[in-house]
Amino acid sequence: MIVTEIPIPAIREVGLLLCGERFEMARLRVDFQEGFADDEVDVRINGRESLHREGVTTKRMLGLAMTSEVEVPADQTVDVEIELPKKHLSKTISLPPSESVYLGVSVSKGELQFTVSPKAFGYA
Amino acid sequence: MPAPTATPAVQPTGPQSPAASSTTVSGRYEGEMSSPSSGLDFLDLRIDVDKRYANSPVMQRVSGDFYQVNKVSVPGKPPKVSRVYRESWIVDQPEVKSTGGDLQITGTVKYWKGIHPPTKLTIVIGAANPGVTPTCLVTLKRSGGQPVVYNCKKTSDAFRSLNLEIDVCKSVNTPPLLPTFNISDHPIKPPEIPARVLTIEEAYREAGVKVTIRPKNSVVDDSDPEFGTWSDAELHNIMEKYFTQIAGPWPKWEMWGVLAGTYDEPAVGGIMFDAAAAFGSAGKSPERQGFAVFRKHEWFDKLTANAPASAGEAAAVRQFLYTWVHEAGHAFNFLHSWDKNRPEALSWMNYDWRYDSVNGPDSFWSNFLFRFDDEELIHLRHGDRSSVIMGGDPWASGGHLESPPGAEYLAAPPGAMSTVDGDQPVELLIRSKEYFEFMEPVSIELRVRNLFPDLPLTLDTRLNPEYGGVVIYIRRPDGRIVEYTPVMCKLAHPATRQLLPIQPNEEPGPDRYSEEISIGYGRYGFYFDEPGEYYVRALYQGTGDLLIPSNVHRLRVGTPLTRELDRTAQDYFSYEVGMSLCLEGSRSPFLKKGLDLLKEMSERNKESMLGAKLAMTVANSFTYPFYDLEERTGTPGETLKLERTHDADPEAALAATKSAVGVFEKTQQKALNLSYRQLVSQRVDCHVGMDQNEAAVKELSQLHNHLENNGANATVLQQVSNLAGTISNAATPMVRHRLWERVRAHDDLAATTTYEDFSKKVVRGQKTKSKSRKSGSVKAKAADVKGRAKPKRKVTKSARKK
Repeated sequence: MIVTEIPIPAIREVGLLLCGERFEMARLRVDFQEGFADDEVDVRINGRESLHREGVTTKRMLGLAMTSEVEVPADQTVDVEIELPKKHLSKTISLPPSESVYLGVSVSKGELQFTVSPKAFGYA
Repeated sequence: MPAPTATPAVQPTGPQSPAASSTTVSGRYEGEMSSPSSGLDFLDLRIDVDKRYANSPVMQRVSGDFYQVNKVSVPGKPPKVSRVYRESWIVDQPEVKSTGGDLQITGTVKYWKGIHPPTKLTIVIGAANPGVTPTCLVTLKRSGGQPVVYNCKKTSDAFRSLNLEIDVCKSVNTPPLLPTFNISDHPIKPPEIPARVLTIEEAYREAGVKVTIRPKNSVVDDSDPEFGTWSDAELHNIMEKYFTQIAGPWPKWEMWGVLAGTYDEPAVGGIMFDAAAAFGSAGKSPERQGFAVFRKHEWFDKLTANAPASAGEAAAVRQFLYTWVHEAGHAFNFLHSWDKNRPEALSWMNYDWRYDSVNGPDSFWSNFLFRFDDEELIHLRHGDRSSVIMGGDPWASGGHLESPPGAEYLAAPPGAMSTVDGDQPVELLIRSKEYFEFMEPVSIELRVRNLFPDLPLTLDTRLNPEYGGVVIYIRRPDGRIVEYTPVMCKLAHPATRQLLPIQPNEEPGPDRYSEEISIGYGRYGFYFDEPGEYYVRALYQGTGDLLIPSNVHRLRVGTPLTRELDRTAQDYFSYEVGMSLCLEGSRSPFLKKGLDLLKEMSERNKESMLGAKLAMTVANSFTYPFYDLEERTGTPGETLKLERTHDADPEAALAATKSAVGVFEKTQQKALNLSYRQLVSQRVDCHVGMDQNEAAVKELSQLHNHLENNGANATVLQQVSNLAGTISNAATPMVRHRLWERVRAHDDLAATTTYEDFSKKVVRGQKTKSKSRKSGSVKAKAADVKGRAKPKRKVTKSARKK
């Protein structure tokens, strides 16, 4: 699996430079759940690429392909875009400000589906 | 309720619910066939028509497993009994009525595998009297057949039994190790739910399975500071090391669980890691033997050894119970609810958050009754045995209630999942080399061995499927299981042989018999035409209804080594080549194309095993003359004469396999001993036919050395020596044998004590073969043999021992 992650400190520094003041960051966990089969996945936060992975495949035993964590501004609405470029699938969800948010992403019937939870998803 | 103590052993907790009513009939029964033949068959029966246990739903089903009983008489001792599982069946929605105090259950039987005539079931259970076990008479009436009757007795109010062995990692070896959850402890629950305390055993007892947790457990020391999280491979590895039941034949009702720290993916609270890699797991067959629960998952942060003091602590215990029951459910071959198109099932196999995402927060726990759903209960209690038992059908395989949609093509044919319960009298072993080159003819060794230490056994040793006594199943890389069907079907007298008992310190040999079988080509074409992993299994049906399943043997077919080979596959996988291989070489003009290709491929690939094996087939076609019918003239009613179209050409046969000898010599694999022996036997025949006795003896000597270095047993080596001795001391007999039968004929010849015996056996052998010949066999010239000079010295009596 090829992983490219944009360093979080870089985002923080940009935030400080642009706004001139420190702002609170929250943790967004994105769980790639059902329906992934050797997929290339991109995650963008407010238009900026945050995560790129290839070979994402759902482990049927668990209903989970992979989990990832990204930091997002805690005090503003965040647009999270998930894209599967090779399958021409893309979907954006706007998440309200929150200390921690858990986002589940699945591919079902040819579409991306989101599940939002205030607590962590668990798998067994 | 106090949690069980943790060290040194995991203490199993018993059921707390009230016992079932003694007047209920539901539960497990077993008994032997009483009619038409007493004791030949055995039935494991499950009746599910009334409430057998508190909080246990009734599924209105009857199901059963048939076993064949192998009984071997031992003089002066009780017979040795083993059972071979054959197949399972189910009756949906049986009719139940009382008739004069007895209970009668009737219905239509549905078999899980194979084609059967319509069958009606009738069960009559006698009235319950104090102190007397009610009778249970089971009659199965097949359409057009006579009734089959079993006399059964109730053995349990559960439908299945399971032993669960649990080990613990040192880092999490603090109580509670196992869950004990009082449903009343958490405020969120269905209003109507019966109050009770649930453990793993109790949850499964309600489901219909008696789970017994083995009292002793091992502690896995995971204290290495470098060690962080568990991978599937590591979990599978410790299961192989710690599970005391891992050895021995599978499938069986045994399961292993481990309480571990953290999984590689921290979001995972538990996993059944023992499934195929195709499902993202580490397992290899047999599957579904073990699972893990990860104590350091955030689900269990508030887990306490004491009674929960808050909803959070109660939720942690509840989740702990859920995880153990859920993972064990996977080992019973349950998929997740949404994988079965039941995303809203209120079941142990669903995820609470998935249910909540559709129905609202806490909706799962507000409605969940701590049970499996009805379809899961039917699978667990009444499913096809192979699809439920651990180590049976691979996880998520097809053809049963829990299979994922579209997996029906993965269903195994009847008999493919037969297994033995108890001591079996005979071992049927399949082995071969583990890797075959692409297009290399696939052959396996089938070996029968007497397992009794004190009783000789007489068996029919015709192991080739052509004779109908052995059935071979092949699981292809795509998961389909097919039955190998040979091209020919032969009817012959049994070839009985006595296999002697041997003691542990005795030299093996007299207790066993081996035969190499080619299974690459059959009636429906090539069976190993795809690169990938294959599994092979056999069933031996001996005289007296002896039924013995073999081990499951794994082999791999490689990918084409060159582009040229890949292109050749188009021509290779053809009828002409297949039949040429099947007939072990043929000079028929209709198969010329096939033989020509084999010749060309054997020369181009002469340094490889592919080339060596093809060369053997080519050479075989040269070792004897070929007869064909003369051409038709078109005259009505004409009689066509058989005429010799090809002479035997042993020189060409020897030239064809010259390189093959070198290939076998270089390959030091015991699995190739039989094939190499065949090759040399063929070459020896050619040398003998050309009066090159010295060359024949030299090849046998080389073979002897090779076999000795590659694990052949003393009996085999002696046979080779005897043959060399016979050839070097006798004048040349003009005999020809078929490729495979050569080895056995030579074994017989090598065991003779005098030359007269030797020549008589040759003549007799030729007369027998002439009755069942395939194309290419040759009649013996008895006169040539009779006129031979006698050998200068006799073969010793010790050579008789086989």
